[in-house]
Amino acid sequence: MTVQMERKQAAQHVGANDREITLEVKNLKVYYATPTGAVRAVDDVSFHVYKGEILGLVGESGCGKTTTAMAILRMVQPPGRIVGGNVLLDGIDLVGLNEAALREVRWNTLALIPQGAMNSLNPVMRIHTQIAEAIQTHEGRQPKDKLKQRILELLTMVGLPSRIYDMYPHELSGGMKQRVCIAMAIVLHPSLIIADEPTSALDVVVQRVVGQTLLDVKERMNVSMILIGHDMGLQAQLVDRIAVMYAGHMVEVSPVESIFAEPLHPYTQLLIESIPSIKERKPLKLTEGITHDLRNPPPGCIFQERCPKVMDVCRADRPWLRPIKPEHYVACHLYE
Amino acid sequence: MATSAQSSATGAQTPVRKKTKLNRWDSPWLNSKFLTGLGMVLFVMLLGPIGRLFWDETLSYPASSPLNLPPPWAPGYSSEGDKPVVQQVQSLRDRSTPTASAAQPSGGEAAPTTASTGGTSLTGGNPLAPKPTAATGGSMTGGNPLAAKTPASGGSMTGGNPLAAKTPAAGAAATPAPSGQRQAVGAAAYARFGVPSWEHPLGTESSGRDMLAVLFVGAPRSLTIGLIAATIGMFIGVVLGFTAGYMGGWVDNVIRTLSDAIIVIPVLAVLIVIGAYVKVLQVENMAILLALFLWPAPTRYVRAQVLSMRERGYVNMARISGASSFSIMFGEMMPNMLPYIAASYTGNVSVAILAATSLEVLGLGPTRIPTLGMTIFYAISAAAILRGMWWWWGIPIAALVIVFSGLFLMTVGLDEIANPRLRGRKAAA
Repeated sequence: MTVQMERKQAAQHVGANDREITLEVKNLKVYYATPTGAVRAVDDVSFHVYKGEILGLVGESGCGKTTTAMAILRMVQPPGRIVGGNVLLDGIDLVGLNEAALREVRWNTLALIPQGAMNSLNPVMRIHTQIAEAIQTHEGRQPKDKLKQRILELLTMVGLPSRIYDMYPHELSGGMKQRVCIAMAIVLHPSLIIADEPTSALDVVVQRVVGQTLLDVKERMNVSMILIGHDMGLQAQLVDRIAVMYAGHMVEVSPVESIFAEPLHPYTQLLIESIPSIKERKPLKLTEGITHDLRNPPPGCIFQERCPKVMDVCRADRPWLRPIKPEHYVACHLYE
Repeated sequence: MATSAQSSATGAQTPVRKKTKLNRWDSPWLNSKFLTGLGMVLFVMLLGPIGRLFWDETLSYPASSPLNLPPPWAPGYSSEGDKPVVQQVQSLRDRSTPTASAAQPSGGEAAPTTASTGGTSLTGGNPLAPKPTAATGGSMTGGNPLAAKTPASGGSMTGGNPLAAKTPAAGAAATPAPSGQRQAVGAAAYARFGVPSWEHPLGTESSGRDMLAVLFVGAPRSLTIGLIAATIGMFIGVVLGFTAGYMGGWVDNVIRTLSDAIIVIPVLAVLIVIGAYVKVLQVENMAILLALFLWPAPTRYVRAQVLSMRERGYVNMARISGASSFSIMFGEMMPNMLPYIAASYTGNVSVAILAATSLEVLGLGPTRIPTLGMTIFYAISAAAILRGMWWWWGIPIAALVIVFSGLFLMTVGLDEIANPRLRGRKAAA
């Protein structure tokens, strides 16, 4: 109950430019302990999510997107560990919560749409049982007809026919399963939903449907969302702001129009250039080089080894996220 | 694309339709092997309650039916089992003397009428009888198979069982008897005692137990031992396996080390030692004793399954959605494992019955109540095989064969039910 009260108080918490902040991540560090040193999967990452917006979290594979999401959910598995930082959800620091309090927060205020929806539904349980279980875990026993009514409404909200109420997961298509996962995520009206590559392993048509569903849900419930993915095209259509990650660091955070109009960080520029264009014929550009060893990052900028515009200062000093334009932050020495 | 979402949303107004199958015979549970095995096990299990309806259970107690002691080749053995031994010996002497031979021809002729009391016509085996007078008595010692099979000669004793009549004739001819008198007594007693008859359809044994009653009482008992032991062992195994696999850490280390240590112990040797010291009188005690060694295998098995299942997406989702460990283990994981648990359960039952029977055959089982293993033990002790008393050792073995085959078929069938890939193999072959 204390959680509920704090939530109300936190609702008054207002962001820098008079917008309510739902989630604030400050200096989050997640290290994986290995015999040869700690792998810095997430190193000093800070960002925030406004109420009712979708924040896109992009970056190449292994850059720490999913680890960040798991750290917010406090689901980092050993040998991983949250070494430092704060995760403030509606004003409550999730990093400091104990198991019992955490269990109450999870799904009530913080939900996850998992990466592979195919594997995220229990194959031996009917759809309605799984959704009902999520409800009853948090709200206790409920009358059967009321529960059914609620689940059917939920299915309608994500655009699924009510006949799947009594079906098993294997009877559904991939897109339907993904939408069932969305329905399960919104069932308790959370304030933040983390969607971890919700459209991977789906074809483009179904991707569009699922994306549309996500947008509908966001509009209807005024929920905040973190959309993790590496598909810049999809991100451009769905999200309000984009945060670009590289090797466990945040390199650029910006509104989506601004970043596509004028990407500032060299890595972002390369990412956007890598999208093949239908209109013009140009050779596909590939980013040279490989990421440094995450156990001992080089002094200075983390992107120095692959950056085409690398300077001497990049090898000595690490650049920090600074606002260049309103709401457009970048960590690069080019804009000092 | 939004329109497609909209159109399916409008379809949502139709009421939830009841799930219907193509037809009601397409269930994977209608597996012929599984059902045959289940039928065989149920048949043995139901022998008790059904047998009770038309057969007297108390006949399974010692001395409730005619004995077949002393051994047929012993001197002084009489065909008239209900007389005291002294009297038997006396009557035998009387009969073997030439003066008593007056009774002989009458015995041969009266065979059909004195069928129930028996013995007299079979004394045709007496060396006095084969004087070439009648085909009834003489045929017995002559070893004429045709004559032996006729109801007039052998059948009068044995209730028409041709095997019982044949065996003594062959045995008498084959064994070099020290004297003709002894050979004759042997043949006579052989046919008289314990042999299946209308009174005792599956015969009786040396302690005077009716074998049909023993089967009705013993077979379900033996199966019950297996079921109880396997249930206890399986329950412990599932709980420990889930705990070890899901909790991990030092809990896992302790449970794994313990089960690995116990699994290498030769169970039968330990059970023999325990069984020799602890007097096992009840079926339940026997089952608990066996269960002590039946949990490590399921523990390892369940732990391995849980370890792989713990990392599956839906378990992760359940954890994120705030479900408790208990509900994750038994709500999310358990239903996925039920077919595997069922298959290993039937396997465990047969292991338990085998261990129980081994102990009983060694004479370490419950002694008060007849079980199949104890019956085999008694049969071995009383040299039933040498004495040709096939019904004594044959019936418990047949019952055990049915139980084991049934359990094996159930295991194979459950495997096919749990693993659909095995189902198609027959069609492909």
